[in-house]
Amino acid sequence: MRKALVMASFLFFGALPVGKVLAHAFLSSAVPAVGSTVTVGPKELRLQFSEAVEIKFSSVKIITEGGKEIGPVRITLNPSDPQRLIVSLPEPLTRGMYIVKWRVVSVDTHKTQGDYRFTVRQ
Amino acid sequence: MKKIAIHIAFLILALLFTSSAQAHGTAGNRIFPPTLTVDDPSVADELSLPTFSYQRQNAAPDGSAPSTRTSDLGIEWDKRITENLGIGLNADQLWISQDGASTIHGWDNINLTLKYLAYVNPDHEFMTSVGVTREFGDTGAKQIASSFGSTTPKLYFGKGLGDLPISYLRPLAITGIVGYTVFDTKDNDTHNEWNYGWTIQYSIPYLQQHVIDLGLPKVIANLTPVIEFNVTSNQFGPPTGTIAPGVLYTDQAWQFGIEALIPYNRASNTDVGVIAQFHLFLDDIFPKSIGKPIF
Repeated sequence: MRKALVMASFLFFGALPVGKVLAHAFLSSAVPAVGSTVTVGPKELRLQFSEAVEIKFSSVKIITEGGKEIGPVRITLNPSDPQRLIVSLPEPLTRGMYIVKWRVVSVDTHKTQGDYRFTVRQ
Repeated sequence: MKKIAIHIAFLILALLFTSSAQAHGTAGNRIFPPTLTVDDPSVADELSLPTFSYQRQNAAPDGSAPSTRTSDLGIEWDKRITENLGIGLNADQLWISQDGASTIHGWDNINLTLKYLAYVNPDHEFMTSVGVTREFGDTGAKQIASSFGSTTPKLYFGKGLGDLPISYLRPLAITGIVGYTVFDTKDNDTHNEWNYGWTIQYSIPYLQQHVIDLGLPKVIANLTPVIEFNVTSNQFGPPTGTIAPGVLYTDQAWQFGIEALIPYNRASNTDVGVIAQFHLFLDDIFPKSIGKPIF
């Protein structure tokens, strides 16, 4: 039994991918940062994920404290970094608190979602 | 025949009521990480290899039983059948030693758990599951394992506190489990028992990703301090169990956790022990083969 267990362990770990695993995409960092207060209203948001994301199946919404959605926004993938989404806004954000709701699909088709807030205080 | 019918009924339910569940125990912003002594509410493709624990059981106060030291090296493999229905297989190798006697070791009985993720509320970071664990008697070593098995229906839940108004409390979450074990024996010394387990956890990844980015280094940003409570009780004695404070380090495809095992009360009659676990998220490592649901 013990030999079988050891052999099974070797087989399992031998089969593990040598390179990087394809995992869920979680938010690593953002500009403006999660929970931050900025003094200049941004015209663009940058969301850095832990894995490459599929732009076709990903969305980002920016909502004011009163529940109004800012838009239309344009979402693009950084060509040199498929883990970074760039959200272009129609005009710089004005004073207020904003909620960013993101929903992405990583390249291995795992879905993740989340939200965070930041404040513009001009 | 009756068991097969129950299993088929579970399968049909799972196919009928698919929700927005995902692997990794996700409910909206919340990820419920696998905990060491209390099974988490999610259904996932995961492998705990190994879980190691060590604890000393003190001698019985009336002298009827000597003190023992138990080391446990366990494996758990959880496999999704559908997105919401999974099975888990547990096997443990035990070493039990006592003063003045040689150490005995061998496999404990095999346990199989069927779990169904019944409801997920992403907005309120809540999920609940139902399950049943079957211990197959006489599948372990004669000198270690009991000759009879048991059946334990269970109810699981997880709730993130992300809707709290105080931002620094939002990373908090609680998970819990209630089960009732029915043993396959009429032995007068063995009584059916209730099992309660709950955890309180503070997710630093949640803090960083959803509340405030403090710019913490990865080694801290991936930590979840946790305290787990495990209690067993029956009508013939006081409850016994453990309190397990510790920490989980969760990376993209694996997790390492280590906790102390502190006696829940005087009746638990143990010294402080330790438990550690290395855990693999198979859905991330093998997303297109053994890491995805069978159906």
